[in-house]
Amino acid sequence: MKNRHYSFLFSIIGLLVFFPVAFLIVTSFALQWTWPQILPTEWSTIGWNALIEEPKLFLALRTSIGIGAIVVFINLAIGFPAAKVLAFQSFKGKSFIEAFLLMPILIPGLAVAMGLHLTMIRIGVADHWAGVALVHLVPTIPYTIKIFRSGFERVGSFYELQALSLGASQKEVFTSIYLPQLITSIRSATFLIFVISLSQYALTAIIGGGNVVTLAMIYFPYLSSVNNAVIASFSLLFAGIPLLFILIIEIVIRMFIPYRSLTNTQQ
Amino acid sequence: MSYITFTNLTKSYSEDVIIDHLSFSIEKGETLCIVGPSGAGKSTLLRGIAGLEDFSSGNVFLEDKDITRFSAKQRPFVLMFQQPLLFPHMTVFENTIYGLKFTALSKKEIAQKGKEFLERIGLLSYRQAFPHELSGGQQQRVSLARALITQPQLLLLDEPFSHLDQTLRKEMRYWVKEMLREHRTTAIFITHDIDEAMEIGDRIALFENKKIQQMGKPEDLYEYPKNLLVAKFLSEGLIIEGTKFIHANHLAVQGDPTNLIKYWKAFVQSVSFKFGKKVFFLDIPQLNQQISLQIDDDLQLFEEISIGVTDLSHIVTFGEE
Amino acid sequence: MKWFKQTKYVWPLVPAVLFVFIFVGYAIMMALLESITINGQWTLDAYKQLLENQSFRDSILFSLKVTLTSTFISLFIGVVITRWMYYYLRNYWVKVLIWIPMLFPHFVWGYIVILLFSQSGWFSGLLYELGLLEDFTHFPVLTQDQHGIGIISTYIFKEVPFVILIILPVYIQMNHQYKHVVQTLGGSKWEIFKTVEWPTIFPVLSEAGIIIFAFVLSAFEVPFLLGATYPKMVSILSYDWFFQGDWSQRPMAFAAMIIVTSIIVICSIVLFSMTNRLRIRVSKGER
Repeated sequence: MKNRHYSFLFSIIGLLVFFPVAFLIVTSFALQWTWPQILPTEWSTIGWNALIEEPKLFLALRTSIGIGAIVVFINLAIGFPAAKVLAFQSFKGKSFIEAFLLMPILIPGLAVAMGLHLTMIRIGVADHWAGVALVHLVPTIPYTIKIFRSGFERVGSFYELQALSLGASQKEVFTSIYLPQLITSIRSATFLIFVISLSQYALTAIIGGGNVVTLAMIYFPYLSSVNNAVIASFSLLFAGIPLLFILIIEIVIRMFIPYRSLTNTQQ
Repeated sequence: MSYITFTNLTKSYSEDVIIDHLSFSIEKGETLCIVGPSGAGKSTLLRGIAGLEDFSSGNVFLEDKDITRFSAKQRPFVLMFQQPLLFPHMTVFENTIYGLKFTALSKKEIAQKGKEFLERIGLLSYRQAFPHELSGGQQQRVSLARALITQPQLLLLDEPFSHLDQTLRKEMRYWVKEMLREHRTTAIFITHDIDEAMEIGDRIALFENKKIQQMGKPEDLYEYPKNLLVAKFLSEGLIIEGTKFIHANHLAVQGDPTNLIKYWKAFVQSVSFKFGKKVFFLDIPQLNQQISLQIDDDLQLFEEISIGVTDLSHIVTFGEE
Repeated sequence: MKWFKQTKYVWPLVPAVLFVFIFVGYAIMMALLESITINGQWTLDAYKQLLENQSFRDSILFSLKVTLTSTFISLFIGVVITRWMYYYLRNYWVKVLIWIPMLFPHFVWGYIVILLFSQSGWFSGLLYELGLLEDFTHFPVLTQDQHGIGIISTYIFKEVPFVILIILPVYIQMNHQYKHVVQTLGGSKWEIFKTVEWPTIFPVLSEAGIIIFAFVLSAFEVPFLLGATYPKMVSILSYDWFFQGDWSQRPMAFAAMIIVTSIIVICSIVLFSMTNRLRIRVSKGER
């Protein structure tokens, strides 16, 4: 009975997840593929070559990763302390604050970007990567707070109290208790923030005004101009970058975080 | 024929046998207490009887009907858990009548019965309250009412007082015993607390080592334990040579051992008070055992005395029926 | 003194709260102002124009239809999969599988949907090869269609894993003994769901629901790829008006977004007040 469930689960997920991804991979290597053929008749790496030769690609990669990294950093800096308070303290109006902090993902991003547009022009960050990074914070901050909040709740505050009573400073509590114990939260938050930042087209277009060229900004025009092999390659690149990014983060974590055994906990 | 009969109940997880060919029966209106050390598998047994888990083999009969294949929903048995487990989003009243919703009773009858039961547990004024507004003891009372209201053919109680504090536990014991008697409920009550078992059970069974070691009236198990396990767990006394037992009420303590036919040296380790009398905790190094005895003499701490029997017939050998 | 104590605890919240004030409060206020000013004059003309505009009225209804459908189907499928499989979903690799759809941006899934489900897509080719289709014009229009099927299916695809990731911890932490209480009192499987699972997941589920609702109602990328020329999702209309060269349509772009914002805010308030009482009771009951 249980084994049947298991294989059923895997076949469903496999069908829904692996098939589209595999299909994308096949498409990216197709040279000759006309309806109604099930598989391409001719294969080549032309799609990938064309993508790499795109003159704006390298710049866009740099811009996207740079903006993503900044967005991740600011997210952690703002979200981490807020999440700790929400996890451990109870105070008057807490549920109001909780709902309030959820607003950035409830209020339409388009409305926010349009509303900020004039002001950003005035203070000179419109058409600039800084403005784009700022507006990318909007759809990400609430998720960061949520992820870290449940992380803090999982760890509990007893370790902190124990460490403090053993003479640790607030900074030592942070590096020796929370940082190692919240690695899974850091991982998921970083990943999610980066992917969300990477997927913003409308917000980037409005605030960046076409001058800030991220990957999404060249992907959209591609959809109507180049062939499927190139777009499919590009689509796969979108999944590859966050994976690469998370790999770098992982290396950083392993280099700088004490008590390494925790980095291997899989949960 | 007994009211409910269990035959050859066995439960094993792969190679690990938890319950080994257990057979016993229970009479209508009787309360059977199953005692045993923690982790012996008592809860597994109870969950199996409730139908929440399958036994590996064995049968359950209600009168002459085999109900082994009945699911928990179909069995007229209700299990009451260690925690009150009241549904947090329902009022006390809604919790109480929960099980009646699955019967053919009309809304009016359900409301009537709910009121009646809440009155009986003394919580009628709390009927619109939510569980978190009640104390632990009150919650457990509602939980019992919720179980009893469905008039189960068998009520199963899994250490229902283990989360309450000492005084509350004692109060609840009498109260539950009263409730069970009043409703003529047939019940199996599980506990690791011997006092609790003695007070509540019409009969007691010691479940240890995958089996029921002995089953009978509380005084029988206390006075005449059938084997070492029962003696150690339920009775009081000294075990000698691994196979013989002297019950505490036959033990004599004297400064001078001349009257004792068989005796050992003992030291007073500590003194406490119970029921207005002094209770001495004695260490018997030769037997590597300790025993608490209520003694009228005034002994000093660390005093050396002799403990033994005046009559050899007081030494019982296990295994001789 | 008490006030001081509270602020001491609460000051780490300040950056986050300040951020929301500026980036949401201020932004929406500016959007509102720009929707009611035309050439420096305060006026409600933009709203009047919108309400008289047939394509906007159709667009709002269409957007709501698409949004509600995607939201409810995503929640439903997410709950069914989670409650059925939560035991196995704890497995590390199964979790990784659930994360894979999160890896691709929405618009990439939109593109995949086009590749697979358009009239000349892979599935119509497959059906043709199997002899079940005479010609690709006989294949139903599933992308860039008037019913938003392409948009809806893209969102379902992307949001089901989101729903699973959000309610999975709730299922894992749930006190499963309550299920046994229902069983032993004679309740069916449906009763177990109704009395034990639903009250526990409802607050979390409704939050996930409102997040998806707000997102789908106002997101631009997916309808841009998969939407029909008529009716358009309201985000597309607003975006087009915003970028109209002479800026004359901008008040309408802002007004449309203010209307969408109001719908979301009203829905959120209703939902939060509904769930709040239940949430408090359930969390207090957990001892």
